[in-house]
Amino acid sequence: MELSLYSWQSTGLQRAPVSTSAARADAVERARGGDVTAFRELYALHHRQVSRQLAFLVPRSDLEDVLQDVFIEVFKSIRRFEGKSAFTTWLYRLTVHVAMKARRKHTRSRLDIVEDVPDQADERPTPDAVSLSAERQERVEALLEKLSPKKRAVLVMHDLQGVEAQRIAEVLETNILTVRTRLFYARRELEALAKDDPALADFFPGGES
Amino acid sequence: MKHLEPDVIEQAAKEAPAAEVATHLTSCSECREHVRRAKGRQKLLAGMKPYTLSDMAFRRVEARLEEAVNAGEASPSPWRWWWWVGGAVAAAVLALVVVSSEGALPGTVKIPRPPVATATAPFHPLMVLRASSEAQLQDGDSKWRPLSAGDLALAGSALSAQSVLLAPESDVAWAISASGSLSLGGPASLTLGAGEIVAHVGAPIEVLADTRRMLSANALFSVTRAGAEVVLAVMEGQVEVVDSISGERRLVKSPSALRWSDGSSLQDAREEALRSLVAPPVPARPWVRFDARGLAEKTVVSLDGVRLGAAPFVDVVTAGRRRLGLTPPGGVERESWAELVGGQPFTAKLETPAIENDGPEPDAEALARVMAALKAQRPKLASCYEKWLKANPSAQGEVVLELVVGAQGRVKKARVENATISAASSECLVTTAKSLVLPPLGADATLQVPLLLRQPGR
Repeated sequence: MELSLYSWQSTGLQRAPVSTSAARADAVERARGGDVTAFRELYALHHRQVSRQLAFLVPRSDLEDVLQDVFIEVFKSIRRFEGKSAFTTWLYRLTVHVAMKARRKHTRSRLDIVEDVPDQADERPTPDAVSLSAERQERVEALLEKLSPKKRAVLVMHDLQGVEAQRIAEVLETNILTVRTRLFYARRELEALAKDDPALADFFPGGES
Repeated sequence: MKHLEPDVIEQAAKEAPAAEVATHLTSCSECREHVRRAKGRQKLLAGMKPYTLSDMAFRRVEARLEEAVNAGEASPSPWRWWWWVGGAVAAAVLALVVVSSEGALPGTVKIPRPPVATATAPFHPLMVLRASSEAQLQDGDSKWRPLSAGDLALAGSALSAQSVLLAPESDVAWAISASGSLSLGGPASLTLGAGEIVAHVGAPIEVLADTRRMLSANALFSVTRAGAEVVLAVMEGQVEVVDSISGERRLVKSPSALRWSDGSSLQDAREEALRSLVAPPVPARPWVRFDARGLAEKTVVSLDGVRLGAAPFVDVVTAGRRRLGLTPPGGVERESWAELVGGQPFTAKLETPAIENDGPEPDAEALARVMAALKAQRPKLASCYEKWLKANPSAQGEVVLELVVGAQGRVKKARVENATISAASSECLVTTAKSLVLPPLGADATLQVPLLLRQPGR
């Protein structure tokens, strides 16, 4: 008589299979068919990549929650994935949309008095104090939070993640002209915000005149 | 004059422009200005490091995803297996079940078969060496009966037990199905993993289901977790992980995080590799008596993310730097690092959890009034700095003052964060902040007030 159990392994050292593109595609297909183990595989395969894509699109403090939201959305929507594009493209699009939505929610519920206390502007550190890249990073991240979700998404994807305008248009399901327009205004706004921060204003010294 | 396109401007800001562009720039001051601004922006964004999450955070998300799916956040129909497994987990956590090829027997838990290649092997009878009192055995179609030492578990038998020690008649591979979650951290031993545990053993293996511990001599455990197959090879104290995604094979970073049921770590065993794991050596690090009787009742204590218990209790844990989590009743967890040293008293401080701003949001007008009031009362806060200056004329620093303000404007709680000021000043700021009177906000709110303490002109 044989023991047949899915967890059964016959003998010897069990070698874990190396993931291949075919195996990944198979995971997507099985997830579409309702296989929960495949959904777990998708998380295992893509959570780091999604996390990287979410960087700058959402505040650092929200990253964990938004990553979860993305995979909940994958879980809910994977049956709608028709394979017309690569799964990673579909996932990236979904990631960006969830990030933009998450930020809108965040904006609505946020209470942040600090940015509204005008008198404290003169108490901020001088540019010298921002020479440390960690602090500059923190300040730029704070500026990004002040952009609208649409502008932020375009600026982050183009100027920080190096995604081309045409691809951004595809991801956001809009046209390239809109992307360029948003990028133009996003850059202008970021610059204005940076100029308002005494610690960052030195990046934009006065003009020729 | 026609100006340069934005793309060209960006390019010119990155590197020396082409001759044609350079020529245009010499005659177009507006374009030069655009290039200059683009350079500033590119410099500002250069070197920004993408942030990601810690492994612990990834695991938290994974755990919450499982919870969310089980709680029915998504449409259930295509995910019936998931529900099925969830039900099985609830009904028979860590019950040991051996099912035959004929399918599940009445009363057994059948875990759905995922589409993975299965292997078969001859089944050898297993002799029960020891079993917990509630252990039961079912042969064929017969009823469940108590299991006792000397019983043989034959092919087709089903076992249900909290704890059972089985011995193969010969060196044979055998399988255990179990449910739970895999945790590589924490004071517990191996926590049995999600869905399946496969062990190939050359010696008896003991699974203590109630405590989710596993003891064995040299053994190879294969744990499927989140769909990725991870092989834990526990050989003479060394733990290797083979990740099927990356194909990498590496030692677990912190083998000491894996502990045997007596608390000794694999690291300890590795240091004395010649000694058998069946009789684990005395841990190199001493035990620490963890006394949680001083904490508020029902405060849940966790170490390295694994629940230790709810106060009041006294437990023995191994010494070392541990991540201590405290969750007051109805509150949120607060974590901090704790250095647990044998023989030295350790006091766990329960930080007051921040009140979540769940209520209606204060309107902008109310906020403006509060801001004005804060400004007006800043001299009170400044008095703390003045005291500090008296003690240290060159004193300066930064602090973020967090105020939990009630709907009526009373400062309910105050604390300082990210302080680079003296402890006395921090304390003074907190005391003073609590005495502030602010206009009614209409809702509870948590306000963060960053303060820079320095003398004018410095």
